[in-house]
Amino acid sequence: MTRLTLSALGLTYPGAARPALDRLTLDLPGGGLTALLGPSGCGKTTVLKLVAGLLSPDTGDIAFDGRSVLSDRAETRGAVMVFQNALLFPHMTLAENVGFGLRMRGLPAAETAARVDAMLDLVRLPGLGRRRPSELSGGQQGRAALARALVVEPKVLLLDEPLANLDAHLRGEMRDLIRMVQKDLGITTVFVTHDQEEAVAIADRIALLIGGQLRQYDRPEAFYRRPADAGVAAFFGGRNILPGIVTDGVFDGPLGRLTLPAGFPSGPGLLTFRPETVRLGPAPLNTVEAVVTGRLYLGTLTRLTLALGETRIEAALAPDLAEAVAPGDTVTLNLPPASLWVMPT
Amino acid sequence: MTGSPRLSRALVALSGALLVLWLVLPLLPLVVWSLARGWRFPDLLPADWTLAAWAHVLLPGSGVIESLGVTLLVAALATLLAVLAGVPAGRALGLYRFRGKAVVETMILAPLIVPGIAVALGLHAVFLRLGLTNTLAGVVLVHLVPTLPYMTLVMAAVFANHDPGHEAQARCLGATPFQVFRHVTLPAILPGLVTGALFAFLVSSSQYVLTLMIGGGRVVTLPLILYAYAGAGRDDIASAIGLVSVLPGLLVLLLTARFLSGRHPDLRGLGPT
Amino acid sequence: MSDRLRIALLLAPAMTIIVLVFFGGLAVALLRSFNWMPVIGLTAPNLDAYRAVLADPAFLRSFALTLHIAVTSTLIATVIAVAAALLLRQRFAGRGVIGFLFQLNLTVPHVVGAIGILYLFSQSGFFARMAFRIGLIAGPGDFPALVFDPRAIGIILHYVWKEVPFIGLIVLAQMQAMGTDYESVARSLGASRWQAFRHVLLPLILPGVLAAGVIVLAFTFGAYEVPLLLGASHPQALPVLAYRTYTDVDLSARPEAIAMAVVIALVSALLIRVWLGLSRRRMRP
Repeated sequence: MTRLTLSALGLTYPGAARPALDRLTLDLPGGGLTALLGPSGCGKTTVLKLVAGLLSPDTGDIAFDGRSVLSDRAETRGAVMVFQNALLFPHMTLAENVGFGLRMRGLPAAETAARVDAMLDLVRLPGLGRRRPSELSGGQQGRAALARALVVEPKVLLLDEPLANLDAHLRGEMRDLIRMVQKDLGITTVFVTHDQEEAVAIADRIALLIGGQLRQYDRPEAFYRRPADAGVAAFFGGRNILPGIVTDGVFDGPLGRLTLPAGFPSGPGLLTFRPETVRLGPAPLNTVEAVVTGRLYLGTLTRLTLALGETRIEAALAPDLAEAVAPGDTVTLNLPPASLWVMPT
Repeated sequence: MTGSPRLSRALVALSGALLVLWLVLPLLPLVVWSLARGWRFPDLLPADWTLAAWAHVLLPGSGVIESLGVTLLVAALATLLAVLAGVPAGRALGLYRFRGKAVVETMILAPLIVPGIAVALGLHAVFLRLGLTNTLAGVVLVHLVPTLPYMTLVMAAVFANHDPGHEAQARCLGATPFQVFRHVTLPAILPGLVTGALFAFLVSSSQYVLTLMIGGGRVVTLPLILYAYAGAGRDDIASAIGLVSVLPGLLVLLLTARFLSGRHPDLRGLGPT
Repeated sequence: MSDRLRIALLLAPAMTIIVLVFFGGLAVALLRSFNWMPVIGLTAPNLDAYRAVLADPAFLRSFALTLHIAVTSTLIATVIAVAAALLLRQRFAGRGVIGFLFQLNLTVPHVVGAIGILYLFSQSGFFARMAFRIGLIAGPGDFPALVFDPRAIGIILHYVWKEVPFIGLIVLAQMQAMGTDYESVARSLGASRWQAFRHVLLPLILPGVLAAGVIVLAFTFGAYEVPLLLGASHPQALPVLAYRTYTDVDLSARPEAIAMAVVIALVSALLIRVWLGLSRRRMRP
């Protein structure tokens, strides 16, 4: 259970105008699975390579359980990185691949073989040790790469988009395997992904990185209900982001005056709420009248686009509720105060 | 990444400098010799300098500039023929899979590997009978032995990356086969074709043993006259000719202007010749 | 038009030329080496030329020398080329210069490079002059014979100079196509730099390295102009011996000359086999 601390980590690639990583500070609790989430090219893989010791930072520090590891070489650091496309060594069998790290450490062949077999069982590849990587399916290759990393009992496991190259049905299977093994072995794990749903489904905590900067570090549900800023809200698919002013717990904006839950300071702000929290019909508080401009049936719910003057908002309703509503209708909606969230401008 | 980056950076710089030195070293004495009026034993540099060797090489009459003309003519003709035969063959190898392809590929590869001397001794008898020895035509023909396979393999690589779908699309849109070639295929393969042709030209212009055997001393190309002067101990003139012989390669490299190491697929196929 | 016909037509001009000129030349060489030339009345093929050649100590010495030149040059050039490719893979000032020199070097005719080696390493060459200046030798004769020498050091120096860029560029391209991720994986799993090279990078590039090496081996075994310029008069490299025998005033020695050429061709054919085997085994990760 190694606690991983990144302090003011910065890196600019030679010749690049902007830093790949801008003073990243992050404290990952031991034994947890943290998703490093962000659009492609935002420095996520750079973080993994820095932690693995494959790159050196320009500034800042990396510590395992409070001890700086910057002077440790990649091979002795104890952080193992699993690359996006499995990268099994093509000239070795599956067993040789999995046993590679143990062989490099000079472990006796018999012990290596035993540990490799146990690991192949764990990742559900029993008896396939003599296969060549080219004889394995994409899903098997991914599990093999995971086994190859786990067998050396790393302090920190670094997974770079391990689900990206898998078919949709294999993705869930692999995700559950990672989660199960990670929990069983209690390895501090960093999981890089650009897919917010994947991050939400697997992680204890999510660190959202945009443009090399940490934008929010929180539990998954917080990113939907309490985004740190408009960029975070947009990344998590937030459609309803409206400017206005908070005065004594009331938000004054394009939807009129809306009562907020307690705790928002007065001043200018951006209001956001999830489409699925919008309710049809009047209510004592926060009732809004709007014209339906579009209706899109999405199977489990129906998405309505609504206009209120120049302002457009989105609502997601149960399909049977939305059936009564047609484009052109004026409808009454209410926004429960608990679903409202104000971000700084 | 590891221990002491300053030390490893110094090591990289040092080995890089050594490599550069080793690569240019054999060409340096040629520069000095070509400008020297005698360069006797213990002198590290000549006592006296002159442009006489260059005048001898560059002015008409001595035969050197004439042999440069012969070299360029032979190379141009051999390259033209290699392009004409190599482009269609490259297309067949690059775009199609067919029975016997491996055999065809081996047959095309073989001339690049089998030493010229082995072919030249047999060909000499044939060409003698056909009246092709000591003629320009014979030399051009024998230069196809290295240039045509080279051109074919380059074009096979070019066509392997070429999508014939574009041609089918153009046919659907009403283009005649010639128009398709002129407006669709040719623009797509032209960069590879030009680069390949330039290097085929170089392969031809640096041939020695094939020219010697078939040209019989009548068709005198630059490598032949260079060898003659070197053998005669005229180091000043040989050096000047040597430097002139480096020029076509330099020109071709500047023309293709892709210095990125290792990224030059055509050059890698050039072979050790 | 069917594909078969189309392919045949596309291949026809090139294959005609290659079959007539190249394989024709080889075939005639083969027939003449068996003394089978019906046109001039030789109708009883025999192995006399080969018997004579194989019994000739000069041929055997030449064969051994040529093998020594080819194997030594190829080994040294391959090792240096792999090291150079590792170097060129890194970013450093002057990398572009080396890349350019590598490519320029490929285009320099062998004769030119060989003359340069001569001027550098002969007993009155640049290094001999340096040695004299600093008092290591008293005269040209004291300088070790590095060219025209029976151990063919000058020839080998030239081939190393010329073929390091050739092998280096092939190996570099292979390394670049592979990227550094495999080594990163190995390092991350606990391999040292050396282990990552030894157990991961080297096995991955080995087929390509060997293939390039075989091409160089075949070339250095059969090349004529470099040993002609830098070689000793005894023993001569096999291609030089073959050419000299062929152009000898004694025309009756020609079948023997051609038999030597056939031996050279056989060795290279063997090497083509090896090369094809290697290039088919080349892995595509």
